[in-house]
Amino acid sequence: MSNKLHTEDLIRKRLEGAELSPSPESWSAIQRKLRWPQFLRFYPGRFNIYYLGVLLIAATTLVLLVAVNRDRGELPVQEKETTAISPIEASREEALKASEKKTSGENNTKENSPDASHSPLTKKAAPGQETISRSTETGKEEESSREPQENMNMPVVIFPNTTAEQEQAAPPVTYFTSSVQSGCAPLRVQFTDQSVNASSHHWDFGTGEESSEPNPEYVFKEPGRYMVSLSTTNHSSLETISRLLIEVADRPVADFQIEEGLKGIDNHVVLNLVNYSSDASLFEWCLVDESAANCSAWSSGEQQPNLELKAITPDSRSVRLKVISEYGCIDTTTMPLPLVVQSSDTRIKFANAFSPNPSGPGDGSFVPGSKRLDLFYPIYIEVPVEFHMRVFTRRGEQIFETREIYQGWDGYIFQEPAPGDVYVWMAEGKWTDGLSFSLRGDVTLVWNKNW
Amino acid sequence: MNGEKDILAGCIKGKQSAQWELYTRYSRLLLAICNRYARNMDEAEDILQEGFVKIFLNIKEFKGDGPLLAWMRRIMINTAITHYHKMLKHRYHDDLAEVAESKFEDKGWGETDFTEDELFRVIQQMPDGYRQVFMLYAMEGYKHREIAGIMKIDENTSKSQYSRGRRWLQERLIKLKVERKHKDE
Repeated sequence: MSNKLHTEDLIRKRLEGAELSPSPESWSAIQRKLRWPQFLRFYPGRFNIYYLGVLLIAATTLVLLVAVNRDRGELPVQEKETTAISPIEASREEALKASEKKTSGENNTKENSPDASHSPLTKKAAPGQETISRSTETGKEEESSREPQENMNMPVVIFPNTTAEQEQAAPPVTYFTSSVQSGCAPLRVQFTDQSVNASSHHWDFGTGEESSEPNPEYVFKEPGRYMVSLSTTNHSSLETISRLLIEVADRPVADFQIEEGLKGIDNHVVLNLVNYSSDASLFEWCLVDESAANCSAWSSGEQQPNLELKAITPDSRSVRLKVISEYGCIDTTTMPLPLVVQSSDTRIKFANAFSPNPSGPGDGSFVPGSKRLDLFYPIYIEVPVEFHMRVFTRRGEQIFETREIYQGWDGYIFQEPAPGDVYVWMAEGKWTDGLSFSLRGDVTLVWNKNW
Repeated sequence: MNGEKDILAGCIKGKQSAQWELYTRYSRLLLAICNRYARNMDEAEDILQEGFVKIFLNIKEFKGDGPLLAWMRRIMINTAITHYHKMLKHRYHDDLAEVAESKFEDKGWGETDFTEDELFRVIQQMPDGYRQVFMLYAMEGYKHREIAGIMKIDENTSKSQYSRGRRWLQERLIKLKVERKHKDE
């Protein structure tokens, strides 16, 4: 050798840029070690303790708000909302009765609720919409009744120290409908005013936001129960109020991670789908192809399924998770697959060179998963159900044949070392999914003196 | 997600897919580096895992003022040294003085005298103190003063450990060559 190297140079030259393959467990070990620290830190793209904190604070605030709102609402909120809608005519009748009462001599009526005996339908339903009325002049707020009434849109009109004009002015009758009364956050609701004699509108959505439009559309972004109220005023500043409860259910959050793992007797690679979703009761997993339009091939309803590599088709690009909450609210998320299967052939690979053990022939069998440089054999990500490999010399003589995947060619022909040369191999077989492969190639045999 | 910038951005957000890309891209190279500071493959993989956890958690700190690989490499080496300090307690401490002074001269080696596997094996057999100092000096180009700081030893100790480690290595390599000659005959 002409170029003699110092020990340092030798080590440096040979080992700089050297590569070693870590065992497949390393990646999952790293992810396992990362789980807690990553949960405790803030990452925008990951569910972590900060998001959890925000969620908790939001939930607490909501609970408090609802509690405060309940205290304020003069009426105990009914658990079940019925959408009983009284015809406006009914309210007019009632209003008429009310004014009749008034005209029959009660000049300073403070409370004038249509009492239960006047309404034959009172006990039939318990609607959440309630109507009260108050005098804007006295500022005194009066309740119509503590009992929920069937004719919920019935305004109660209070006539303060009546003057002649006020007596003649028709009182406003406040009533409104909503497109929906419950749904998943964010919930878009169209409110429609059905009031009579209203000249101005004031909506309070129970969220701190207000509107003066006659028919507003409002989006409830956060889950919760909201008492929506509409107050209308007529030309004589008489004001009546109507209320309706809107329920907004929590939307579940779909979240998961893909971790690589090993399974089965031959330790084949699987993908573990680790579920981090919240507020979900049903799960729908599927493999999504490149166009992201179809859920193809594989799907599962398990909470944390394993995804076997053989289920992955060449089109598969990502995994989609759809979660459904107990209220029927839905959320979906998609994660890219960490690997792509190009075809059935990419599940198996052959080396293009090997260097037999010079000390003598062996039987060519090896331990699954071991890395042997002295044998010619394929590596694969899934064990084929059928396998047949043959090796030929360049002249076409068959020198090796096996139907056993755990057996390779040791580089010997009839116990004699095969000459260092290029050899042709052919391999065919079948995968568990029924697809078959038929491959050929060449391999260079090198006798390494430094073995 | 192909560019290093995209991978980096993904890792900063804590995306697992980006972490996986980074891992598949560099784990083999980094494992070989870890292996130079370890006693065996198991220990090397431990260091690799610990190092990657540090990389993923601290990737925000990477300023982009140099190649990403150099930054990750530094983390791996620091992890390896920390690991070595931790392990000191549990290990039988090699008596370095017992290694005899060699009479062999450094005649020099052919580049292909040994396989990578053989070199790795010899390095793993090296007494711990020798290996860390030798690798830091010869492979990473640290100065003895810096090595003294990292290893928490005296600067002169670093120098003497280095020259002894070098001699130990030479002896081993010569032995290996002689053994092989006997085998061939």
